[in-house]
Amino acid sequence: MPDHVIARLRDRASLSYRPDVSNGLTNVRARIARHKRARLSVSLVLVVGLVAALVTVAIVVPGQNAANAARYLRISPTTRIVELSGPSNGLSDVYFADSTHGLGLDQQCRLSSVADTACALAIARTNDGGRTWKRVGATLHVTYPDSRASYPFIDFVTDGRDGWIYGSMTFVTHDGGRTFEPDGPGGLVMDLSIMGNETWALSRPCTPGTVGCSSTLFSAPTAGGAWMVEHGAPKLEYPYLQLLRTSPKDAFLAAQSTDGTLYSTVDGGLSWASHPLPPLCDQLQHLTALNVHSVWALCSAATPNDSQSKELYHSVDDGSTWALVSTTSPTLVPDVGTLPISGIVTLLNAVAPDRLLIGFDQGPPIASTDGGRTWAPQGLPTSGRVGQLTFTDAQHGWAILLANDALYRTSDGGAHWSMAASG
Amino acid sequence: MAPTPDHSFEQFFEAQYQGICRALWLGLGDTCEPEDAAQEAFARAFLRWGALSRLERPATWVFVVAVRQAMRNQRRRTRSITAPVWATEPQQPTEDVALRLTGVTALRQLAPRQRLAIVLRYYADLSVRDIAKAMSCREGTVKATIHSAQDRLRTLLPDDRTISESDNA
Repeated sequence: MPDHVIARLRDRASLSYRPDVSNGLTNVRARIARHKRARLSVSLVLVVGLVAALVTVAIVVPGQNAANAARYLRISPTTRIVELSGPSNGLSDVYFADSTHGLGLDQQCRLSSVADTACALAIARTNDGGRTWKRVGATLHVTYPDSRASYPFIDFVTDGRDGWIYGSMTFVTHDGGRTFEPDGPGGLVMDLSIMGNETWALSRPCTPGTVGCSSTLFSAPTAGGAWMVEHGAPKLEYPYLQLLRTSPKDAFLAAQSTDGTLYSTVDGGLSWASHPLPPLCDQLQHLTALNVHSVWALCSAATPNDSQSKELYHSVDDGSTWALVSTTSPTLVPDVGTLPISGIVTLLNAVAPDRLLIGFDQGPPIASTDGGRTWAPQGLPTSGRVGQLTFTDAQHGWAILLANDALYRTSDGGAHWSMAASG
Repeated sequence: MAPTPDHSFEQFFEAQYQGICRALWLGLGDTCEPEDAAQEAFARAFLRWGALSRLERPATWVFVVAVRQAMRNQRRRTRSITAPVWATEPQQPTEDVALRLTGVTALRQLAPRQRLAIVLRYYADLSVRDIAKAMSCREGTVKATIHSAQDRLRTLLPDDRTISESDNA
């Protein structure tokens, strides 16, 4: 473009259009101030958001771990655990009245790490030792408030009529699972035990991780009735508790924490005595007992690489005194058995006076026939965790393998297993 | 209290503000709110003046930002107002004759993008690369636009034979 044209353009533009320089600079200063305020606001929002995210992570993540950890500590004559990543759909919990008659909880849950968990629950019945199952009644649709809900378990009386589905929400049936209605003492029912005419529920009114929240023991008539607080029972703040009833009158209550105390009652909960746990027990993981005069306590301490130091103690006097039976460090203590250091214990079950079973998060369960001194792998498939182990007597037992959602059955005390049903 | 731009920025502002506003006015017309666009570009320039002041031609950066802002202003206004561009251009008959050969009249008859490209190239003295940044298009598109604008200007300015073919290189 010729220079004279450009020069004329400049002249023409300067004649026709005169921007206000002084006002322009004032306006620029105002805009600069506005930009700086906006930058400051954005920075503040980012900082607040970052802090909120960090606080959320600090609160929620330990809570999730705590909720998971709670499932390790469910000790009762029927030992139960739940897969850490969530419940396995299908037959997730079984109750057997004898070697042939049983009830099972068939659950189908839609899992989410962030949203509510919706489950369809139904009771199934077997009359052939678990080979075939038939649904009883209608499906119960339950929405658990968040992904950290405690997943449901069942317990029934031997006639199969009265029973509960319990956990974050609790339901009762008095017709063998055909119909259910909301029940329970409220809160998270961590354990529920039916013994004779009285059912006990150990409830926690708040989620794990809530400081200053203690558990409460309730009782109710098994055939139906109001839940009453057992005022004599200790209120333990530590969230991971176990209630172990060995008869309608005898029971143990303990926390996983290292306060080193085991509580027991021999009068149906009217009074409770406290006993010191073994002094070397770093953390109580599992209790099991056939009766109040023979109690085993498995203590542990975490070690790296999915291994765990373990000590198994036995008491014959309601937990007043303890004897070390086996340990992962046998060379340090003479005359005790050896436990494997690898594997995290997920269940401990007393099947007979001298017969014990231990399940791990990986690998095959191990069994002892001499009261816990020597251990050997038992005949269950080695892949996957045993999700539940229950025995009706010293010979007949069932195990749910989480790897394939299959139910296995034994009739020789656990020496040999065969698949009863698959999910 | 508003922050005070430092002395060098004030000098830069005073030296460049009117030229940038006029280039926007010539290239895009009143609807682009030239002063608003230029002020926004200068405010942003102040916030990074430490780096910009070390450039050989910091005005180029302000030009590019101002043109983009002006085009946004124009889009915003023309969505709601269909007023013709260059509405404030004096329309005095006596001037028409005088201006016929000045280029301003010829510029009016170019397509908007041709007009903007020509103004940025020859009036603001931006490189093809910087024009491409300002107009958010490829350099080849800028060259083609300038080339077609020059062809059009030749017909509008028949007396002029000095338009260089190499200007758009």
